[in-house]
Amino acid sequence: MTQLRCSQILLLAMPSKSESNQQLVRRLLGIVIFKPQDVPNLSTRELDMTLRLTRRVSLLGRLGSKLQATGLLESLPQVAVDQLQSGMALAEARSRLALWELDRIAWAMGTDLSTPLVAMKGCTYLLLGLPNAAGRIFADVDLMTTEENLESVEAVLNRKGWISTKLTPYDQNYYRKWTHELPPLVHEEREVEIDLHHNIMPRTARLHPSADKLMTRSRQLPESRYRVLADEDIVLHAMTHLMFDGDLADKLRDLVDICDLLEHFSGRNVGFWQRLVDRAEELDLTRPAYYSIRYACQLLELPVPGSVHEKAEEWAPMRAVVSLMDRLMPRALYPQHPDHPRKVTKICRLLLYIRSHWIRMPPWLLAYHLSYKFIATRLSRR
Amino acid sequence: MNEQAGKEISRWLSTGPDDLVWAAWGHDHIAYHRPSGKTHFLNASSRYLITELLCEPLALDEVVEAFAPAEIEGEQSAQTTRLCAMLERLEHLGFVRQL
Amino acid sequence: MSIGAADAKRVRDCSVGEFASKLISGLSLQIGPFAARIHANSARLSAPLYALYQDYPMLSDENVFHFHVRLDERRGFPRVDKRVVRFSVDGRAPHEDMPAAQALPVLEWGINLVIALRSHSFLMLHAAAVENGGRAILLPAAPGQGKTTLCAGLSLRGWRLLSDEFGLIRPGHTELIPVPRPMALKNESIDVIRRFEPEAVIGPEISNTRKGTVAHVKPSAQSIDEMRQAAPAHWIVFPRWRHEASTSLTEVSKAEGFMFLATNAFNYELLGEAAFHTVAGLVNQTRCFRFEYSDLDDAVEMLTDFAARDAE
Repeated sequence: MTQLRCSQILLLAMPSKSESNQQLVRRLLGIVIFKPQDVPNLSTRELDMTLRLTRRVSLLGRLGSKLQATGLLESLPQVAVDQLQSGMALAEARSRLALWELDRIAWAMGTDLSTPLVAMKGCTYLLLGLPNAAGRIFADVDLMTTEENLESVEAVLNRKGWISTKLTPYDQNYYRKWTHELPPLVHEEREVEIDLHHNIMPRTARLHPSADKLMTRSRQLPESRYRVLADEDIVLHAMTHLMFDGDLADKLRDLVDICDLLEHFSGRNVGFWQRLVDRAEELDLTRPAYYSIRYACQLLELPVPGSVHEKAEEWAPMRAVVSLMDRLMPRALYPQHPDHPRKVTKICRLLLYIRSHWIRMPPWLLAYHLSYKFIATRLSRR
Repeated sequence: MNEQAGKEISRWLSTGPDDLVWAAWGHDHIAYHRPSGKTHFLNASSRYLITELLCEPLALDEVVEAFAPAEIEGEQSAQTTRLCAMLERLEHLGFVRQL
Repeated sequence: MSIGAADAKRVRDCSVGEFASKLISGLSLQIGPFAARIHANSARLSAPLYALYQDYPMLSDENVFHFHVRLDERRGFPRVDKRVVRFSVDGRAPHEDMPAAQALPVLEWGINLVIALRSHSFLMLHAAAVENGGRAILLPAAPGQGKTTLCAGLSLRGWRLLSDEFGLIRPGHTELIPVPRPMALKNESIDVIRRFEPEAVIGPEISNTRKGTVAHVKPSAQSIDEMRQAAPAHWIVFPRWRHEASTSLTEVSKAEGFMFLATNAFNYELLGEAAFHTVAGLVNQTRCFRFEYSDLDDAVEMLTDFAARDAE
């Protein structure tokens, strides 16, 4: 019940004076996400701030490609064009690296499809050519296979030149023993990290979607070594990853991804929302779905059918927790004003950071892991 | 990898003529490989192998014969080993593949 | 927002006091193609920055900038008796705090870092560049090869400084875009340049930095005045300082030139095919040389003479 007491402190500690900075941040990013065609009409000061904020949430490439597609890029001042082109160049380079890594893994693994490889997250968007792939900054390659196959896949990749990145004994042990995951792999001639999983959540996490169910509904891509998850599972994975599997700071981009995916899939298939709702319950992923839908609506004005809203309300936690998350979530997802950061935002983010670890591992492991990392960081700075 | 009695013989093939962009000065050839984004310094023989010889699938023997037929008795096996290593390296880089 | 015109207000048109205030409230400068916004609350910076940046054009604060950087001097932690400086970009610090005495090089390296990280609308070669008579020499080199010293020497003997660190080219083009900056000399090079040109304006010597003792040479007023004028590269010269080496200029193959350029670039791989074509174009229109030297006077003389002869 520590969360409740914090919520009371926070509600008292939120002065209204700096709301104008927060409002500015949200208004400008709203334009970037929904009405990029209005960017050329921004004032000089607003345009300058917009570029800074957009870069912080990794949406420069997305904005650049939307403006380029509508022929509006050249109407901006050269300084803005430089930065947007730079963002697009970075996004394109990362896409190329991700696709090439997928190509090399497919070559290494050979054509025998009995060892399934499911491309996840960004790689899915790339392979399916989804709208949110354009201008997206990819980081790692995320792949899923069955638990029985994990070690043999690692062995094949090791033979063909991939090595394990986490070299300290603690880190190796942490990955293999406690999360039952493999430490990330990287090829000795390249720098792209590969995360190989057997589920969408680590084993120690509090949510346990059935890996079998995910794999059963996955589908083989034509003329490809890779499978992808079912449409609704792709969305649920994105929701779970954002809400339950990592630090939320500046992760507005991930919520934008979820909105893009929902709009895309529901636009193509009338039954999609119902399938999503049913699948969330089947996989016991209703809590991340609840939060994702709630904040996609509240912050990004995603249109959601009334029936889905009603259903999602059944998945809500206690009112006090929702109230607290309503306060914390925007402060985490949206970037701080770059010149006027606020301490209260740091506190909100710290709380969510702790929460993200809390839900990934049991309390005793969390305490051990956080203290180890804290001490290790201090020692390495000396 | 290759010719074993009773086994299917694998063939080598270039991955795609559009995958590579070339610049050349004299005997020096530099290739940009579009899928990987990597740039490679190659010689004329490698370029010939990738862009001419392996436009059609060829078995290793055929490659050796066409590319560098042994002039001296006994050199055949050394040539084969060298070419095999070269093809494997090119496969690793993504320029050729085995069918 | 256009700058670089002869009538733009320069830093030297302010008093030192005005400049110091601007540093705290926010200084807007044009640095080559980059519109920069700099905040620095460290009082020890105003005089040296004023001296080094006096010829740079100032911009209106109402502008779109390529970057906003900040240098904050503060008490250290946990050693509160030691003052430190924190360099940050848009509120984020890319590295740990440094001793406050190193404020100047920390700011200068920080600006270089920001340029290198986010200017991918340019191909950025790790190279110095100088121009004379409408022709530029590009001097790519790995760190520690004497590129900055040679570049400073050339720029003090009639060559216009284009850059001591970044060979900037727009993809698909072959002209070098100037980004003249104070040139950071290290250790023995500082004395070499002082002896070479006693009139050179050099900032304070800062010791114990991660690169040893550092001092910055002010770029000439001419190189700042002409910083909007790109120049075609005619020669690519790979310099290498070697103890007691005699000065020698040896032509190398274009392929060798290509590979060396590609491996001494900040973002060659990132820019992909566009970078490949740009470097190929550059190498096609230039002659490439290895250059070894130990004596700066000889080196500058040889390159200047060679350029004059080869241009005919």
